[in-house]
Amino acid sequence: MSAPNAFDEQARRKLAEREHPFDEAAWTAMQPALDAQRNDRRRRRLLLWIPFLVGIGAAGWWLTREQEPSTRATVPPAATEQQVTAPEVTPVLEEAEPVNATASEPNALAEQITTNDQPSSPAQEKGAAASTKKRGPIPPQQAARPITRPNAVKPASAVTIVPAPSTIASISATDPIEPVAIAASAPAPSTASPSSDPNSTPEGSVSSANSDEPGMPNVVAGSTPEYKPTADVVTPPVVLPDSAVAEASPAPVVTKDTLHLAAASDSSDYVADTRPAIDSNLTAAMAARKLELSVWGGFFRSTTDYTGDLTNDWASRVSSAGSSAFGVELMHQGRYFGYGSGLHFTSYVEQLESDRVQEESRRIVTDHYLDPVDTTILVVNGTVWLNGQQYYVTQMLDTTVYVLVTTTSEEVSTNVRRNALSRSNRVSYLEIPLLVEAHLRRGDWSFGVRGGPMLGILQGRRGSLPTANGYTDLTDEAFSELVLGWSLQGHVRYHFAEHWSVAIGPALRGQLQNTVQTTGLNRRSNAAGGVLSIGYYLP
Amino acid sequence: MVTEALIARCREHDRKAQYEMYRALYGMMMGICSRYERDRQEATARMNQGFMKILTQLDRRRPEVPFEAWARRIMINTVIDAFRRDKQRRELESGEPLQDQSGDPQVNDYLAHMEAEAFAQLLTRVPTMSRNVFNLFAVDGYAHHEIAQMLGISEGTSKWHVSNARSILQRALGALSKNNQRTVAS
Repeated sequence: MSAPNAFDEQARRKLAEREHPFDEAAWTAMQPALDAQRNDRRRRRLLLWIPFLVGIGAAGWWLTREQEPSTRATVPPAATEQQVTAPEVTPVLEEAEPVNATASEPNALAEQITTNDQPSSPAQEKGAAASTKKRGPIPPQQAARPITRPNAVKPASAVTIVPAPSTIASISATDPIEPVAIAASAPAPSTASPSSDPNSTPEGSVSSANSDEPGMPNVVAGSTPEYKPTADVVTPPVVLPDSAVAEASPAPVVTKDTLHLAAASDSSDYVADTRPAIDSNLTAAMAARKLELSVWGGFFRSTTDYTGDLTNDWASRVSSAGSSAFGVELMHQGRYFGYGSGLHFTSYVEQLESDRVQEESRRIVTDHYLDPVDTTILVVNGTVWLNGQQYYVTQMLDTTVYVLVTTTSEEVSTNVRRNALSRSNRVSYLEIPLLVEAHLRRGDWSFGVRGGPMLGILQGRRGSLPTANGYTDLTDEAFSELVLGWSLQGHVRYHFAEHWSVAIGPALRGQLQNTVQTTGLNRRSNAAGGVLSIGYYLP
Repeated sequence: MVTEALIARCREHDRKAQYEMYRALYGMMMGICSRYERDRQEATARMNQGFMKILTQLDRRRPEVPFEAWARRIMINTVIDAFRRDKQRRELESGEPLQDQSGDPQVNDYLAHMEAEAFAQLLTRVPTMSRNVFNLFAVDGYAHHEIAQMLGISEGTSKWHVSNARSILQRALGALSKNNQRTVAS
């Protein structure tokens, strides 16, 4: 602290005596800085949202990419049914030497399907035992190319499956791994049942050539993919423990065509080669699970409700007015549902009609004035005596007399406190919605509803609000920077190209919170209208 | 009077509340800035700069600190920071301490009776560095080591500036006092 000094103390006191009357010009100079600060704050907030939105987009994209392989392996119910009801054929299981199936030697596994699961049931154990016998040569034209699975290399239970024409093999497993049905697409002249004679298969087929050997199973796939061994037929269970197969649900079906698999080293190739067998329903299902980017714009009729004590003196009417909104949305679309987010720029507009506010004061005023009246008066000038008689001497004189008149009047004075005003108020928000969607697709058309909560960031406001004595500019009102809202939008969408669609539908949006912070005043806006959107399914 | 409710509204960026606070603090802020700045426009600009700092730092204020004292300190720091940034304006006067006439009762008596505005005008005649150091030391109550730290000078230099400012002011006041006596005598 400074040491006391008489001069310093005097100087301090003298300077403290100075008065600085408030200068409005200084505040006017201050306002641009405050506006700049406000804009800066908004910009910073927006920048904070960008990583969030990018994160959401990246997560959605990643999720979509993750789901694609499993989607391809999924066979829709219609496709499964079609395969199961195919002509029944008899499988021929041929024993082979255990094969060391590795990814590095795919060609060594030609004409073999190698599995690695140990039998878990007696039937499977029998099958495993039976599979140790060699069945003889395989006609080259009937030889299937291998399904190679790098993780299926346990040679102890290696089984080779050789499909023959008109042959269908239904293989069931009792372990947790999904059963696999292997079917040939060629039509079969006869149908075999699990208990039928193995010789019933056509001549020339591999099955027929080997049918006299005991223990050879003739397994027929029916509608129920269940393994039923007969007394004299030992059917080796075949389980294909492939991860891709295990993921497939319901039971994956491999047709003859699909058995024309190149010696591949991973399951993704397997999936790729099964793609031609998937029917158009599956394609549609695949198409339904994509990221959709849509841009929309629309016109709304917005309504703003003002409540609170401050509105008692308003003497104004607030009516709805036209407004516009537009936005961009990124949705992760499933078969029936979707979710996502986006950015909307919305304006809520209201028409304000304010009456003129004036005060009238009345008072009774009493006026006194002199009213001039022209008249003739008789003036007595004197008296004279004539014949003992006194006479007055008079003179007629024209003059004006003033008559005092008193009047009363009512004086009305009008003090105009506020002029009438008609203007549109506009408040704009940048809204970040959290959207969910339900939709139903029929051919090229889809119908849906999309909506959810939104976080609105105040962007700008224009207009004025009435007060008892005038108007306040909206920019001087304390508005909440962040407002929670909602949106709901129905749509009819037409998919006019593989990736493109256009939609139209009604839309509602509104605010859930009071948007001003002035005590005694509540403001909340809603809007209803229609939007047109163009959607693009990201590849 | 700046109430806690007003401060809370300012923290919510309520423009009306900001205006109320500006009005309430105007006298104090302008008093500080006009002492440090010669030009009134510059003083206004500096005051607005300081008020913006007050608004932006409202969240950091500890509630136990009196608001006006806190705002005063921010305002002084703003003015001094601006002065330090503007290095060309810094006057590196130094030299022998001038004769201190603080004990002269005639000067002090004249000062006690003169117009505050006239003394403020007199203060503007003092070189900037000396005026700022004098303001910080004599009016705002900072110690020499604090002033030295704030302005990046030594304590000795700070003392010299205070003495220099006093000397200039007292000489001017003495001259004014003599002129005044002559006028009264004639």
